[in-house]
Amino acid sequence: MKIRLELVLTLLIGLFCFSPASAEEAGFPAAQGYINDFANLLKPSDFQKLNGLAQALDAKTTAEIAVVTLATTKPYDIQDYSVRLYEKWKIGKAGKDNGVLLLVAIEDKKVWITTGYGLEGAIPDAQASEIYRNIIVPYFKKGEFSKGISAGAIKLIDLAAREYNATIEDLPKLSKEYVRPVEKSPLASFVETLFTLIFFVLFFGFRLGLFGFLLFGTGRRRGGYWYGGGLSGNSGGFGGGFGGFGGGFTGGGGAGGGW
Amino acid sequence: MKKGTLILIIVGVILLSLIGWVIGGLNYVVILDENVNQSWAQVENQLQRRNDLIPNLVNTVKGYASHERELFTEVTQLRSQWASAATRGEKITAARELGGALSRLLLVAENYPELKANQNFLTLQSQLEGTENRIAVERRRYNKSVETFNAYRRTVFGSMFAAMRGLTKPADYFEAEERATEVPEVKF
Repeated sequence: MKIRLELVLTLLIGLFCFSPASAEEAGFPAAQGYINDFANLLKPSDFQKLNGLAQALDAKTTAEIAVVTLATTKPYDIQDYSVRLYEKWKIGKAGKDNGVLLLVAIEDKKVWITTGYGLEGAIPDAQASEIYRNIIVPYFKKGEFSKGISAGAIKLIDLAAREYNATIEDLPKLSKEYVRPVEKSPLASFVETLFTLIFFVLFFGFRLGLFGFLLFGTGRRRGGYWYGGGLSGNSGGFGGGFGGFGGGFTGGGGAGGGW
Repeated sequence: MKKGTLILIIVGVILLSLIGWVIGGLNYVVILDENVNQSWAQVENQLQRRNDLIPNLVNTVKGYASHERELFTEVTQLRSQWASAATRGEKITAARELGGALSRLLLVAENYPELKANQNFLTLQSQLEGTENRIAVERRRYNKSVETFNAYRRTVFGSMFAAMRGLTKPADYFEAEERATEVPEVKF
């Protein structure tokens, strides 16, 4: 009697708890943080800079950016994959949907920017397309993937921060360093070189002093980002701060393409 | 007496559970149906957005490619057909055909270098692309909710609950339109 009672109850509970199984989409990685360099394209120092900016963006504006590098998005095309990954990670805060995803598939030679509903105003498709064409692709064509990804992400962070009138430390400096019009017309660059030459000739001719060396020295400071950090490539060991994305949605806004 | 109370309790539990189950089922089927409606509303938003771009697009293209009169009439007709469609199924059919015609219209532009360089056209083209992307996303979500609803309707009790709620018809899927990929030849 007792056994039967338990059996009946179990069966009944089993019946009521029935809900149609929703098939979990396979083949999508879990988020490791704001920056997910699965394809190992980012230099450690760039990785840290971007991670710092992404954390600051979240802290100051609640907007969330995800940067993802992958080998391939097959069998999906990049736009479809981006949206599906976005749906899984839910980038941006719930209700605000203020997230943006920058996805690079290195083997497919494709890059795509996906904006959440809440950032479609801050980053309209045309703007996303411009970031893709004029900021990311020129670097990628030269094989400078770390710089291209950083430049694109920094511009996106900048746009998101502007939407909230937030100032993020280091952002203006990094914007200057990374985001700049890469392609110049031959004439413009010629004129620029000419002026630089004239400047240096005058400079050296008239005042070759300590001051000149200082200026000259600062003008050449660049590079050196191979060494910083010491973060092991894919470990995803964050110094705290990332507790998963906030539950945002996308409607498929954004732009991108191949290079 | 003791045995009697036990049976009474068992019967009571079973009855209560049954009632709860029926109510749950009746609610569940309605929630699924509502999901379908909601996701359809999102699809419709984006389709409307696309439709709003059409007059502008047609006018711009007309200025350069006046030979494509048939295509203009087709697009315009399909647009009004979509607007006057009564059922969701009709809307889906019209939207699919319109999508095909629009992608052909955009491809026609390949034949007109001046049109391709027109700033207005380029803007419209990228807006249209963005809209198509959004339609694709909302369409996939809509189809997913349709799938859930239709699948539940076909389960043993699901069909019963659906019938009790008057949801006798399965929801319509929105399949993607055939995209034109070949540039049509120009006839002068």
